[in-house]
Amino acid sequence: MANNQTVDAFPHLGFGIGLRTKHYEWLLSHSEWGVDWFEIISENFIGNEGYGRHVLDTIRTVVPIVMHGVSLNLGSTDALNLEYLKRLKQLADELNPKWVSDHLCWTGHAGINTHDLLPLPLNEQSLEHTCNRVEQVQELLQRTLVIENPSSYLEFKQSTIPEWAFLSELVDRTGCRLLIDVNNIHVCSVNHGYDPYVYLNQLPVEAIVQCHLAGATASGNLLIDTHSKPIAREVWALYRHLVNKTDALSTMIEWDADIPEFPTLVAELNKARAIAAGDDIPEGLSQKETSDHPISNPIPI
Amino acid sequence: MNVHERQTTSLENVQSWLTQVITSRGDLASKLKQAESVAGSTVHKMIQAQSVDEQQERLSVYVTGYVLRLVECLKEEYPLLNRFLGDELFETFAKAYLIDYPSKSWTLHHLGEGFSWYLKQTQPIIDDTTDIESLLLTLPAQIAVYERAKAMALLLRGTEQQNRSRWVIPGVLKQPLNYESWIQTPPCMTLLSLDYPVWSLEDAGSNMTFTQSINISFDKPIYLLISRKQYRPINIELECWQYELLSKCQDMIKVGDLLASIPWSSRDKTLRWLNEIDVLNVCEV
Ligand SMILES: [Fe+2]
Repeated sequence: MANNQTVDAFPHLGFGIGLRTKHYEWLLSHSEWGVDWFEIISENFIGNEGYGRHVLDTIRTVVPIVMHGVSLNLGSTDALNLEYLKRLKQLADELNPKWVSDHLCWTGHAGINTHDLLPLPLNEQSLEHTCNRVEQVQELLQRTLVIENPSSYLEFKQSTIPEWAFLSELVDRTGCRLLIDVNNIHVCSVNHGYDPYVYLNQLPVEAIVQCHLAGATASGNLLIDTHSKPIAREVWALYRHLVNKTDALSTMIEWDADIPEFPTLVAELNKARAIAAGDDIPEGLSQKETSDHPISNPIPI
Repeated sequence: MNVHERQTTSLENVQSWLTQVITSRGDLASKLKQAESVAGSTVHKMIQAQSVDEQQERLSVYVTGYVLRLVECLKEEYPLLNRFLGDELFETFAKAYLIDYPSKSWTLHHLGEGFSWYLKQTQPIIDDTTDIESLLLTLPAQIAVYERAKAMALLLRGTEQQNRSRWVIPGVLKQPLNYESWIQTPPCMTLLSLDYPVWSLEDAGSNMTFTQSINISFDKPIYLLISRKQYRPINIELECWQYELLSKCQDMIKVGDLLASIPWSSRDKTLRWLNEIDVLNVCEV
């Protein structure tokens, strides 16, 4: 296990937003952003020496950033991509993020990358496999990894361990930390029929360093993680429950489709600030709307 | 559970099965057939569901999402081509490309890399085409080459970041000329030789009809420089000698060696032009 970071190395960052191309101009032309930190998608900046990197270099002199990846392919039985990891480490060394995260998922098999976050069968075999991979990645990056619970639309017959128990074991065995996506818990609880509060209550609270908030879209019998809407009331309620259980939860909003103007995002983020400070839960959007083919995990650009 | 069952439900097998379902050709039924032939397992052994409808609804989120997500990415990179072909035809090519050449890279920056090549490969070979027919067939691949170069112009290292690399000082060749200084095109620059001035389609608006909007030129190649300055994309139409000159600068070359490769009488004109366009990295030693 990589022990280079102590508990203090995961400071409370406050309230942040996922950095997206659409907001570059706005950010460079305003001095008051209304956010405490940004999360970047690591892959968008590996090999990027254009305007995006220029904007990021400006932003990170003002507020802290964290790096969030989508291509680590942690749960895959393919070998780890060492070239990717080398470049990820190089980027982390350059940017000095507060932490580096990715997902409890796999993205493809036999070299194919679906660019989706695919669910694992959750059992002893996959747990052992994932633990080994987390340890290898931590060794290679020389950092403690932060791992996010994904959204999912199917469960495998091979699964024998609930996701919260899987994540708890992962934390126990590797020392990794958790990024809890509150919307993903809500989405999965609807899609797989479990109580989201049981899930939240069973997580190792001391390992949670960050949370994601996002809006989902209903489609047929499923709830799809579209990152395209304001946050639902059920998600705000879960968020309040999580905030009450944690001491230093760095909170951020992901919005990747139908992205609003930056001030609208900040207004949504301010609802999280208010809830964390003890205010009532705001009226969230109803998730009864459906769309024909909503895309889960839209590409964050 | 017997040995065969243990193998077909192993982690590797589950992943092989779902990857096949998501990325193989055809409707869901043919995808499932393909997955079964590769991974030796049926959907009933893999997915928890009460009914076939439920299985399909759950799998469809991944199957449909895979295509839509990546077609969106290609549309993002090839907006002009999308406009030229229209949504339906563009999506047909994009989906076929994704099925034939699924992404094997960790980055989406590579996704569209082979698209122009793919369009060229799938071009039907027809004897005795008229100029207009030939234009219709070959233009999509040329638009794709042009748009890929534009995407790279915005992504790769330009002339803005002096401090990143020790030897790179962007800007103008100083007088008196130092023949020992090095010169090179930045990675963000692409030099293109095209059959048609595809960039003129940019101004054609959404109802473009190519015969109206393109200034057709069939007899000689058109040379184009695509790059960026201060993070803004630039296109410069080149004369043949300018194209050849910049081609020599794609690998680092000493100013003295570059000048020695052109006629004495053209040197002044060449230097004036290089200073005027100001798109190269120059390292004074
Ligand atoms: Fe998330």
